[in-house]
Parts: sequence; C-alpha cells; structure tokens
Amino acid sequence: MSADAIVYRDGPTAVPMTYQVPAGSEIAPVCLTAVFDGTSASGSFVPTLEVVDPSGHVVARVPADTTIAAGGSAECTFAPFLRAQTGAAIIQTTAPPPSGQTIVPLALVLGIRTVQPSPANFGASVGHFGYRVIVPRSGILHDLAVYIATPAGSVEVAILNTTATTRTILYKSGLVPATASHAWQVIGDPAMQVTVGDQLDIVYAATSSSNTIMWIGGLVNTATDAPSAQLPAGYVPAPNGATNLVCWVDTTSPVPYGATTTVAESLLVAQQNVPLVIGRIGDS
Amino acid sequence: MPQPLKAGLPPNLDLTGNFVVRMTALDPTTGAVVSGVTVSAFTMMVVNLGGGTIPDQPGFTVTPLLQYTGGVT
Repeated sequence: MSADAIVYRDGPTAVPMTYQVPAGSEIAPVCLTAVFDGTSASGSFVPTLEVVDPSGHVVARVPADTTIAAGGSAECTFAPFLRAQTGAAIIQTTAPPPSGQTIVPLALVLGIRTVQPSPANFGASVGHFGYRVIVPRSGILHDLAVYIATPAGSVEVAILNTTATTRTILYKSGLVPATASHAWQVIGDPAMQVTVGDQLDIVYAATSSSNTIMWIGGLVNTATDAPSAQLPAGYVPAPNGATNLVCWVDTTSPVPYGATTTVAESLLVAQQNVPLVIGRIGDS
Repeated sequence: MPQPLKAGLPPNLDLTGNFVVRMTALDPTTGAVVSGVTVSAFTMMVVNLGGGTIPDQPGFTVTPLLQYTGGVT
C-alpha cells in the first residue's frame, strides 16, 4: 500500500500535539516521525504515539522503548515492524505485515548453492532432510515450494511440529513429480493455520539424487561439521524437549512418509545442509 | 543531533473523520504527560482511503504525493 500524502507540522508544539482527521476523510497512517525536544522537560519521558477515537477513547498507545532523560531529545519514527534497537542485536518484530503475505524465514542462512553437496546423498531417496523455522506471523501457511535446477524423480515436502520429542507430521505432500527446470515449483499447499512464534521443522525428500535443488550449505566437512546443526542449549528455544537441531536428516522413515504419522527424535541426525523450502503465510 | 528511536505502529490503522493522532511524552513511571516537551518536524505519511483531497487542519499542511500512472516516456 503506497502512501498518497504527507501531513506536516514544523512546530515546535507543546505536547500533546494532536492531529484530527478531517471530517469526511479516511486515512491510514503508514509512517510517522517527530522530534521530541526535552530541553525544558520537567522530567524524563517516553515519546509516545496515541490514537484516540472520536469519543475520546484511546484505541492505541505506542510508546518508544527508550526513556529520554530531561534535557535530552529524540527523533522517533513510528512504523510497522519497527522496534527499538538494543545494542548491536537485530530484533525481529512479531507484528503481522500489512501485505498479508510473507516468506517463512530460515532459522539459519550460511550460503546458497544449486548443486548437490558431497557426499551426494542430499535429495536422494535415503531420507528426509529437515530444518527448523520460527513462524514470523499468524495466518494460513500455503504453497511450500522448492527451486529445482534439474528435475528428476519426485519430491515430498512435509511439516513436523516440535512441541514434543516425538514429532507429529502435521502435513505431508506425498510424492509429487519434479517438473520445474531452473524455477520454483510448489510441491504442496498445507493450508495450515500457524501461529507467530511456532517452531516447525520443514522437511524435504526426493526419490532421485539427480533432482538438484537450491539448498543452503553449512560447513564443508560433512563428517566433522555436522555438529554445526546442533546449537548450544537454549540458543534456539525448543519447547517441550525437542532438540535444538537447526537441520537434520532422517534416513529411517520411509520416503514418502506415506502412512507414517510421527517421527521419533532419535531418528533425526544433525547434518549441516538445509534444503531451501519456502512458503507464504496469508490471512486466509 | 536527536537520538534516533524506533517504535512499532499498528498495521491497517484505518482512521475515519474526527479520529485523533496524538504525539505526546509520558512519564515512564506515572504515565502522566511530561510538561516542557515540544514536538517538531512532525511528518506523517498516509494512504488516502477516502479519496478526494485531504483538507489541511490548523497548523498542519497536507501535501499529496505524485502517483505513478504507468506508461513510458
């Protein structure tokens, strides 16, 4: 949604400064910025945006996360997705984006290649490859897709929960012929309700090692660097005992999952490569 | 140079006539308005959902943004 107009006021104006939406108009604020000057402030303060309905009720109050000492000043920007910065950390908001669509982010991004890792068992019918995501917004998850460079055989995608040590298979596409060539292919549509903060394992399997997909490679040495998938305790919260595995391989469960409904954690072995499976989350 | 701060904004905030957008400074302990604080350089980008022209309000100036209408020149 692009902005149509900008409302200005140079000021300075004593707080509270109010802008009343003109009668007969209807607007949607996209972004607001103002400079709060506390040179003559009677005490420390928090810059705050309030939205008040026509009868005087406050319907939204949005404080900045930082308190300004008396005598200080701040330029404060109010916009969707923004939260205060803390040190050098990057803070990801959990607020839903206005577009209604977003890509499920990966838990870990190290690099992208479109060839098979070595040893070339990735994508072969030796097992399912999974990785952990944290759901960025609530909504309906749709269209799990992989980028296929050279199609061969069939592909399965699936979603496992992580709320118990033994994962429940929440969704499985079954085998779908790989047809895309140097293009994204939607393998399945879970049409599944997800909640912001949920942790899910996104899973990929293929029946042919010739089916090359975009994947995210970890460290080079497959044997010795597989533990890179196992994060330190508490690094990625894993509710109810599920292991902090960023990416894993399960060579025991059948491909496709078929009638299988659960996956024991003991079957998941840390490994350092992540199949790139994306999805989108919409309002419906 | 004022300290740059960021804060979230509720998305899809559709405001009809007579709603008020208020910039204020609150005491972090009591929630009361802190006197002596001023606001300047207020800028609010908006989507005009009502169509037509958004009238100026006292003290505020509304500047429409140019919209891309397609075509190549």
